[in-house]
Amino acid sequence: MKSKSDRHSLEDLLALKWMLGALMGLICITTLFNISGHNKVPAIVATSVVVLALLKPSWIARVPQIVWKGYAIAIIPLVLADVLAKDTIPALLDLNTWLILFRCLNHSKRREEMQLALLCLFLIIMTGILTATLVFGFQLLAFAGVAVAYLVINTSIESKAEGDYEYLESLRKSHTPKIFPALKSIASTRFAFLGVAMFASMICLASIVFIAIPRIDIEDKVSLFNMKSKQSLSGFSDTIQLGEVTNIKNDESVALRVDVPENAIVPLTPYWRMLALDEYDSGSFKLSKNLSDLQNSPLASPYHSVRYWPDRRFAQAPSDLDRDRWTFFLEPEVSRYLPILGTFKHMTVASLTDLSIGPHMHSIAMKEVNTKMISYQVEAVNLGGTVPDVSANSYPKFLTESFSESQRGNSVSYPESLLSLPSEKGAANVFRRVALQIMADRELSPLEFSRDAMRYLWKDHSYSMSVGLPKIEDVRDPVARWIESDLPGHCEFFASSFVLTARAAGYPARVVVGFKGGVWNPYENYFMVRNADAHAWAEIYDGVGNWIRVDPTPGSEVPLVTPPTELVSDRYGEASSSAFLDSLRLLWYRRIVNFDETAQKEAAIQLKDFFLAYISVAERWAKNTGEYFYMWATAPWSVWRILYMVFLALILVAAFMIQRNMTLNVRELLLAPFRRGDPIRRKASKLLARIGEREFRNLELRKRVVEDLQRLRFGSKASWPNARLVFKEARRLR
Amino acid sequence: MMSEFLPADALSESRNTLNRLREAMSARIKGKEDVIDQALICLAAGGHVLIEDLPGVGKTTLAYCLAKAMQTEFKRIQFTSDLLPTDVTGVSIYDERDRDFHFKPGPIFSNVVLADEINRATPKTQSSLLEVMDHGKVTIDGETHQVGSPFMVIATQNPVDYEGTFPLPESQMDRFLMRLQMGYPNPESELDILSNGNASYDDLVVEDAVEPAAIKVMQETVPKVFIERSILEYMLKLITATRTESEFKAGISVRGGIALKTASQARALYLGRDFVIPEDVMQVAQPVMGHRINLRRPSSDALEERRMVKGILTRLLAAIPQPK
Repeated sequence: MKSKSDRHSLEDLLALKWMLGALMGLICITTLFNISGHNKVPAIVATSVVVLALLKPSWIARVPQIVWKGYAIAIIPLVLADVLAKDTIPALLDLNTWLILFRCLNHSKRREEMQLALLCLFLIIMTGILTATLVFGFQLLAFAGVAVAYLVINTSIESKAEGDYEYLESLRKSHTPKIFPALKSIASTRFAFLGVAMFASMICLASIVFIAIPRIDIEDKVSLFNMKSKQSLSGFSDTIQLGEVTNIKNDESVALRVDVPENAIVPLTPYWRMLALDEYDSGSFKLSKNLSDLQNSPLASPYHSVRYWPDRRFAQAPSDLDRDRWTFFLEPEVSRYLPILGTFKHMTVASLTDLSIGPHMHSIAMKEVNTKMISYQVEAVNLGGTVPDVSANSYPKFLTESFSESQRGNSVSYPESLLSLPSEKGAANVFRRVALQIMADRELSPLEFSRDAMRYLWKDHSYSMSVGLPKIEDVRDPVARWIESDLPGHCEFFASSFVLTARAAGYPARVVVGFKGGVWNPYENYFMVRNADAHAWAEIYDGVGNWIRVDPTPGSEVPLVTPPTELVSDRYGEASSSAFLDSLRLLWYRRIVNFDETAQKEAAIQLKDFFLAYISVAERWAKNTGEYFYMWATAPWSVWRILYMVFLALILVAAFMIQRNMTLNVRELLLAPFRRGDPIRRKASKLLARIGEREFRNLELRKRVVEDLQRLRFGSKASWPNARLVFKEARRLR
Repeated sequence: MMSEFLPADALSESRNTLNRLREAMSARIKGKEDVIDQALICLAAGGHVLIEDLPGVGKTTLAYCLAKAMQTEFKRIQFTSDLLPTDVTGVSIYDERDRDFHFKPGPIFSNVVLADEINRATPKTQSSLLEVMDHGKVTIDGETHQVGSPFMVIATQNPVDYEGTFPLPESQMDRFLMRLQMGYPNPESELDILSNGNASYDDLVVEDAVEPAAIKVMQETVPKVFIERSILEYMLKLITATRTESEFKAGISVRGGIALKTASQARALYLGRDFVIPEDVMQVAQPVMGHRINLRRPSSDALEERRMVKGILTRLLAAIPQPK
């Protein structure tokens, strides 16, 4: 039998192959855009060239051979310079990009096709290790489909040309690929079905393999792939200048996703706490020197710090206890401090060695800002408005001093920094005066003080993103100048003013930065926290071992030890298309990227249960049917029953005979309205083609049947023989 | 188209006519069955034939045999550069006795006319054939005269010796239904011819196969041969392909398209069918279309040009899918 692919000319196949090759290269190159911190110029150049080539293949064909040769030679110094200037990995990526660009526009020989496929595969694997974004997932899917199609087309060209490579080469040289006619030539439902089926089975197979293979954390095994981020975008670092947090607010992209357990209780307004800062110096809060030294020291590792921060565990696996687990997915390059809701009992991270913990400030940081999405899990989250204090002297003196002594200087160190005022005399006096005004000779608890101080601040100041500061004689400190005025300000001014006023009144206080709020995504039930949700607030010490959260920004809830909470099911979410798209991303993180061994086991078990359930249904059906037949056969036979059965059988046989002997069978009759042309002519044409393919013994009969079929196909309707008889004869022809 | 129904007796009668003609002719012209077939297809379609080949391969014999087998008149006009249109069509001569002009018909007033070496005559003389080939009529001095019925012009020309000739204008070419090549006979046939060949065609004894009236009936039957819509679409695709082909100066004209249809119908009838199959179109496409096409880049050698046109047409025929 003739293969269907005979309908596609070699020119069409070659054009398709060329297009698929270019497409494959394009997909690979675009994956580079996912790698943050990688130089995008080669990828942009290569992408635009390939897109141009796909749109105008004739332009590429016009490029003389010498240009490509020159290009191939030019890659060498380019890459050498790259290797000298950069790390190995970016240089390797760039080299790969240039090579793919060259190869995906020039692939004609078998060897070159294999080169292209391997180069693309290499790049995909590299970017796959360096990134784990949802977009990359789609690119990988597309790549898999295109690559399979590319190989299939190559094979069919091979078999069609029957090894005549010289002819292929000449054909390739004489024809510019015409992509659209080529695409048109293969556009058929049959082809689409076949393609979709192949692709779907490939995906199925891949997902089964994905569930089945053991997990390895490739980053731990291959240190080569630890690519450093060149630029740090973060607004949350050890030092925060006034206005820095507000700057982040212009960024609408999602920074953090928090997956909440089902039926959990969540705070009405969640405060995602990242770090607290104690030391103040003319407009900027920062972590005091001894604390930041401590945090960068080996003492900050989870193994040491838990000794001084009891009741908490850090591990690489979740605990066995049945507790609420909140999973956090932090986007790359937000900060090295991990946002946490409050205090907790157990934290699960992928790698404990990357963590550095600051119990004093209740902050957990990574060694470096992450270049990939990272996820961590927190158990038994405390939704209260406080975090516990770790007293400064809980660390042995000899351990802490050795890190801080060298640069004692004139700066105040922790814990004295919690009460320190601006070094500028005038500014300090401003805060003292305000503090006296608020206290008004009363004895106030920290909570009472906070409420009064907030009321004081709100009396003169409203909220605004932009701030202009007035000039006051002798005072340079921006916060002091602001509190003296009646200008609106942003959260950082309110927080700083509150902290400094509280300190002036004798209450230890510190500034906290992080995110406030976040949009509830009802599709997958999680919090979407955007960069625009960045916020600064304050914490005041209650004197008995807790830090109470105070948000002095207008419009916030009053400080409480137990802020209001609600059930997840009651939460009102934002059901928009962007939220839906974002939920896909969370699914990707949850199911693919963050797929650990436990989840793997769960998925495998679910899959097995699913199949077993189907098998048991099939089993039951087979058993029931068997039983029914047994009953039927063993039931006593009466004359009426036999007659009934014979009657039934006769009807069946008659229906079959009628169906078979109708001019057009039921299927053809049903399909006739959807097809072009006369159904009888179509059937005759089909039978003619079938007879043409086979050899027959009875040549005379064959000739007559062919004549009749031709008459049915091409003859006038008035002269038609009995179509039913002709078709019957054609079927019986041997 | 659907309403025209070809009765079975008309079909068998026409088929008999053609078979008898074929038998009578192939008895005299050895080893040239395919040319006889095509000439008869032309006759059935009521068209004219241009035979292109070297002298002495049996062009005249073919025309003579055809005329004799049909029991009709045969005339031969040798075209030369000094031949005048009136030498073909005839002329009105003043008769002293009647004091009036009398029309003296030329050799064209016959049934089968052999226009030998047609390209040797001037274009003026060549075009004197236009009207008669189209309508079977000659108009001289405002008076229209009917030529014989059936009427068929068999023109010949020599493709090799082009010295001092006037190539036929395209309008003239378009009037010929087919262009045929005779070719040499195969060795056995030629041996046969050599052993009992006659020097002159006048001495040939051709069996009287059919009556002229039967030819008329047959020619009226051809347009009634049924053509299914998909085959008409196939023809249209073929014609359009010749018009868009970059190597061709101009494609097939509308008249050429009609010629293709008629020739296909005639071939179907010739093979005893009352409907056209794609095979018919394929078979007549080359002889019907070959001479109606001019290359964009003409070759200096006429034979080379024929070959190129043939090659491109073969490619087009292979590329366009036949209705199945």
